[in-house]
Amino acid sequence: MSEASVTTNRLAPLAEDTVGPYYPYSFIDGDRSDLTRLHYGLSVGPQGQQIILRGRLLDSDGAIVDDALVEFWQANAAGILRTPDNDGHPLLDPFFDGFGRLITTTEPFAFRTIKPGALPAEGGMAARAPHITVTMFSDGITRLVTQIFFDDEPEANAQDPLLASLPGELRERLIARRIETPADGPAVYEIAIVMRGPGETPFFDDLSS
Amino acid sequence: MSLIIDRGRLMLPGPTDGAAERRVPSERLHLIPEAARRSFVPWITDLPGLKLGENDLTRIAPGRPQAEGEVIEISGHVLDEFGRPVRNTLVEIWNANKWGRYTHVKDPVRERLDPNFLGFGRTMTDEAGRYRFRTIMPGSYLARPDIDRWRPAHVHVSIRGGSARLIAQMYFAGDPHLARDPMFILLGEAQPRHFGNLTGQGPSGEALYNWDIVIGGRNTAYFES
Repeated sequence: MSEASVTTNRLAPLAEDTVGPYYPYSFIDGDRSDLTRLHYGLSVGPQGQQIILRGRLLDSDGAIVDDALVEFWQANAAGILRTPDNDGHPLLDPFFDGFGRLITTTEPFAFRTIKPGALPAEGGMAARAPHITVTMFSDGITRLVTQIFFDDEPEANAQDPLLASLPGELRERLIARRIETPADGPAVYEIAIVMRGPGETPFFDDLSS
Repeated sequence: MSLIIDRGRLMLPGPTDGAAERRVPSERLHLIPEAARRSFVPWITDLPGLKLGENDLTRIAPGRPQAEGEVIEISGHVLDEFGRPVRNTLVEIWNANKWGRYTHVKDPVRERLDPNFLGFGRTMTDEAGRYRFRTIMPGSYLARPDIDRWRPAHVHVSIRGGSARLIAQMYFAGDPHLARDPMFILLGEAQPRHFGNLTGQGPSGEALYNWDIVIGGRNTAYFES
């Protein structure tokens, strides 16, 4: 019935749709907003510097978007992503898988994690500055994807191919600012992700969508 | 000849009730440079352990009373574009009750709640990519009283695991509200794929719907192995 069926044997995928306003809160089970521990009450955990990424997901009125599903993906402190490509990699951290998620409230969200390392150049792919991939689902939108960088990595950021693909004023919108450095607590970085309007965050896509 | 495309899709204003016009980016999406692709697709291994009966939405828990309404069964495969099963992947669904109300605390619809219906369930696909749910036929509901716009009966689904990630909706053919539902209209030529196919009746008279969930486009980075 679809055009695709007469030009290819591939199955036609479903269309991505909005998550709507009623994604069940209870589906967020287990605390994936904190990747610094696998379970409560352990004295062991992932390697690296503990950080908090404090973010505000904003609409075109500058209001915080609540009930959005936000998912995070990042490398460990050594810059290694836990993907099939890296199975058995000696620098994988057994206490860190790198996928987090939360549902936003009317307050800024806080994602507690390990500061990702820079991804090494490999297999023809460029080195990458430390970054966290952020995917957002909410009422009114389908998936939005971007990557967030750190303002205390100016040299790495200057070499990053994703940042380099953007005009300068847009690059700045992807860089989280370190706001405080308590001696005994995690470093806190702040970012505003503007879904639409003045200061709109650049979002990313590929050619297969 | 090289194809030069420097900007990605423009996301269309979505359909939902005031949120879209404040949330859909006004700028085109930026294409991911090839040198930066590898970190964009999460590989999701951290999935919840499920309790017995979580794929049966018709009861709050095994042995509890049955919710009101028509029991339906929805089953099918989760597949990639090449027809390969997407195995051991979390499938989450959620739908309104018989009267068109969600148990979600933010649902403003004033229809009845059913004390025996939570309206959400989960399962994992098996080795063949199969999944199966029992739920209550969702009611349609008046989403926009100001313009008398109804949402047709629908079931939300979310797929998560490995590199698979998809959020979509299943509809029921013949629903009189489909013709005026902006979300359904925006599906365009994909509309037929979003219908559950009525295939018969189960032993208790429940309607059986088959719905294959094909994941493609984004997130296929690790399907190749």
